[in-house]
Parts: sequence; C-alpha cells; structure tokens
Amino acid sequence: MPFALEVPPIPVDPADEQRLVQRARDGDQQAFNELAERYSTRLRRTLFRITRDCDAAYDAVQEALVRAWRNIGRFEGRSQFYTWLTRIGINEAYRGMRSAASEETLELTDQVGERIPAWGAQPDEVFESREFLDAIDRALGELPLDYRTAVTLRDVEGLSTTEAAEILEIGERALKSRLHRGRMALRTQLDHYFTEGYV
Amino acid sequence: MNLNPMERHRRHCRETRAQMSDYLDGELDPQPAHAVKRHVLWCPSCRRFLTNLNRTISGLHRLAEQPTPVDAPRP
Repeated sequence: MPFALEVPPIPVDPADEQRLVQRARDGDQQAFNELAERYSTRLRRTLFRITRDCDAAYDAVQEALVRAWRNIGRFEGRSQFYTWLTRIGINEAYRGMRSAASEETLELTDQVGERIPAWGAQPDEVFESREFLDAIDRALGELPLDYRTAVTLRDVEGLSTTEAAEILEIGERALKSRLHRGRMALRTQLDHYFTEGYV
Repeated sequence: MNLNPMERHRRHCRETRAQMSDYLDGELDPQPAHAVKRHVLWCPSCRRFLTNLNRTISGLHRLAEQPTPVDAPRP
C-alpha cells in the first residue's frame, strides 16, 4: 500500500537556514548536523533513484556530508544549501558509478510516422495504479544516466529548471534537452500502457 | 521548400513533439505555445502523444510519494 512520505521541504524558513549555514561556516558542527539531518533522507532518496543501488546511495550521502563539512567555508550562499549539497552528492554518486557498466547513449527517433496508436486507450484508472508507477520507476532506472538524473531532479524531486541546471552545473538549455529526451524515452518505454494496439 | 501535404504534416508533428516538454512545463513563449495547441487540436496522433507524455510526467511526480529502500538511515 503506497503511503506519502514526509520529505522535508526546502527550506521551511530561509532565514533559519541562513543562520545554520553561517554557524556551520564558523565551525559549529551541531549546526551542520542539523542541516545534514534536515536534508539527508531527501538526498538519499534522490541518489537512490539515480544510482538504483542502496549501498551506493548511502555511501554517496555519507561522502557528500563529509565533503560538505570540509568545504562549508567555501559555500557562499548564492544557491540554497540543499542545491549545493545535492550537487556534491550527485558528484559522489557519479564517482561511485564510474567503474560500473559503461554508459550507453540512447538514440532517440522522433517517432513520427513509425507507429500510429490505435484508438481505444486504457481506462484512466490504469494510470493511477501502483503497477503503472512501478513500470515508470523501472523505466526510469533504465534511462541513460544523464537523462535519469535530469528527470529525477526535475520531475520526481520537483526542482525548477534553474535549480536542476545549477546542481548539474549545466545550462538550462542543456537541462531541458536532457529532460525532454528522458521523458520521451520513458513515454516510449510505457507505450503498451497507452495503447491497445497499432494500426 | 516545397513539401507535399504529408511531408508538411510530418514536419509539423516533429516540430510540435520537440516542444511538448516545454509546453507542458509552461515554459514556451505564447506564440509557439499557441502553435502546439493548434496542432494538437487537429492532429489526433500528436494529441494522444501529448496526453501520454503528460501521463508519464504525472506518474513521475507521484513517484516522489512512493517509499524507497533507503528511506531509513543505514542500519
């Protein structure tokens, strides 16, 4: 039975976060721990969706927190703390994944003129089902890493285009391109849910 | 370029689908947004494509509420 998780919002009180960040910058480890506690579950979930591996997600968060504490003095507050921490976490996750299977590139066609879906779609309840969500999650796990990360940050995490681009240190145009290609690939993967056949 | 009607239609479909993500995110300028809207009104294939892309994105949003194996701290 699915249930709604209480993922901490970012941030509830920006002024409170700024105070914590400033204290952490001044060497207050307890302030840093508060920030870490606030965001580590959310970061772990994000990194799991990207790595698809529990140990990799736990390890990357641990490494990210150590690195963030060491470098908190360099954090200038131009972005949100969570954005900065997520950037470090994703870099750590990527580092951990580098030795894994070589990344494939996905050649996407525009799909125009290939297969025309037949009329007669699935009932709407199908798209509310747990089965459909599981299928989306599986398809997300099969996306090439760059697309998976963009889709996870933007569509699952609900970050803005600007925030996601900032985390990945790419331009908004590049982020949108990865997002679009990732979404189109997912839509294709889920084709059988959308159609009853082809004409 | 002098395209026959079928080629012209396919070109419109390609152009429309390339902009669907931005359209659904509300990140298209008014003129291209209007062009997408107009095309999907009379093109059933693109209309279905847009609907299903929208369903995919809605499903991704709902994934955020699903549990993962790493919700608890490391045992």
